Amino acid sequence: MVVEQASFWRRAFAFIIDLFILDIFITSPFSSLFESVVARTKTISIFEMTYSTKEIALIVMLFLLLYLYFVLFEYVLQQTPGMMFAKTKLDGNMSFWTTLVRNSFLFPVLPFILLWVIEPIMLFFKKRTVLEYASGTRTVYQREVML
Amino acid sequence: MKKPSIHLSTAALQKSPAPNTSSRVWVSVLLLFGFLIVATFTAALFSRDVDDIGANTAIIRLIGPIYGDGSSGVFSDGVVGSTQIIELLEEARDDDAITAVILEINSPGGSAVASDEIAQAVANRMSITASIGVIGSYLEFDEFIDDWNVSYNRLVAGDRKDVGDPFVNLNDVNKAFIQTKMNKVHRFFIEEVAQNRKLTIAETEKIADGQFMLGVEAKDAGLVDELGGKDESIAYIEEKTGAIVITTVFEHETGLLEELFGIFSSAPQPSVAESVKEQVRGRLLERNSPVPMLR
Repeated sequence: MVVEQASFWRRAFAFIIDLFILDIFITSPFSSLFESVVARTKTISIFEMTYSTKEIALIVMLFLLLYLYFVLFEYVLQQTPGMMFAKTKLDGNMSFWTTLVRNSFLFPVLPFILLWVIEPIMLFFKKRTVLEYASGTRTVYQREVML
Repeated sequence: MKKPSIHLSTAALQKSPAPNTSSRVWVSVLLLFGFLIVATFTAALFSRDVDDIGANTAIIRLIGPIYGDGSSGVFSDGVVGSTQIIELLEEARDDDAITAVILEINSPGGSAVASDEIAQAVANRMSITASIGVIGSYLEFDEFIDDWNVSYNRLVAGDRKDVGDPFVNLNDVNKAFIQTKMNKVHRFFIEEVAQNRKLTIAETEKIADGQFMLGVEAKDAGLVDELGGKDESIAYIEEKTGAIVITTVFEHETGLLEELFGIFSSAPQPSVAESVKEQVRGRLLERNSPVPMLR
């Protein structure tokens, strides 16, 4: 078994698979609730529109569930379903705390929102994200080789 | 040349006996269905308020006669409390997401209601729209209770305290007294209409004889701006605000206790005759007198 750092494309593939799964299992029950927000985007940018307290609560709830998805899977199985498909896995001293840290890029607030730009760049060039450095973890690809 | 980072084992992989692929799949499926249940449950909780999500226009319904404040303080059957209307208007005003309010009015009138500026009045062309007048008529039963050998024990401090009581004969002096008050209310009503509809007092007085008007007549008289209904109101708001209207109904939210007591408050309102019968019956019972069959 050879374990090496997962490439940018492999991780992107895993993330896309996860997004599909999230869409089915987590975001789809909320879709009808966001119809009005989608309707408003026809006239105003999503960043410019004002949100009611209930909408903010709904968005926070949704992000919390998305966050828990990554945290729980990584804590329990050291990999998300998408990572299973991509044959990648977490490596390092995994604890609940480290999984919380490494997935904090999901918070839709500053400064975490900056990570949405920084992390892909880091992944592309360093194969390791800022939060992986911070949590002392890495994502690896394991493959069997004939020796 | 870049050195590939390859190693043969890791702490995580060796930390505990890794579950085999089959176990992983089952754990994943369980977790995913757990998420699905939680997400569905959470969405269902929010969907109770789904109408509020993203709404920018409040609909406040005024159905029935408008009174100052119901005894129960809630919207009883067919009765609107003006206090609640004001609360709803204030709630809409304080809600940052609400940019317009549609007042759906189906009311014969009632007490005066404090209102914010009404930008656009829209009425159906056939609806009974305007009746600028004041009514204080009531049935008088003083002779009726005499016929039933019932006496009215007049206990008042203040000679006019029971003016308007259906069991007291309204003499000419008191009749004139009530008429004066009603004329004053009528005057305020006329001034209010003139101010809000941008009409002169003289113009308003001409149409303030209490006559009802059809929507089309009210438009000619300047009491409404446009003929139509909810769709026309929405079109007007969209034109003014440049935003797609998403409506939400603002209504009085009842708490559990209020909901329970609402069972009583929402009971059909007794007619005047029924009320009188009940009062007569009550008074007879208080006096331990035989209660006649009142039908």
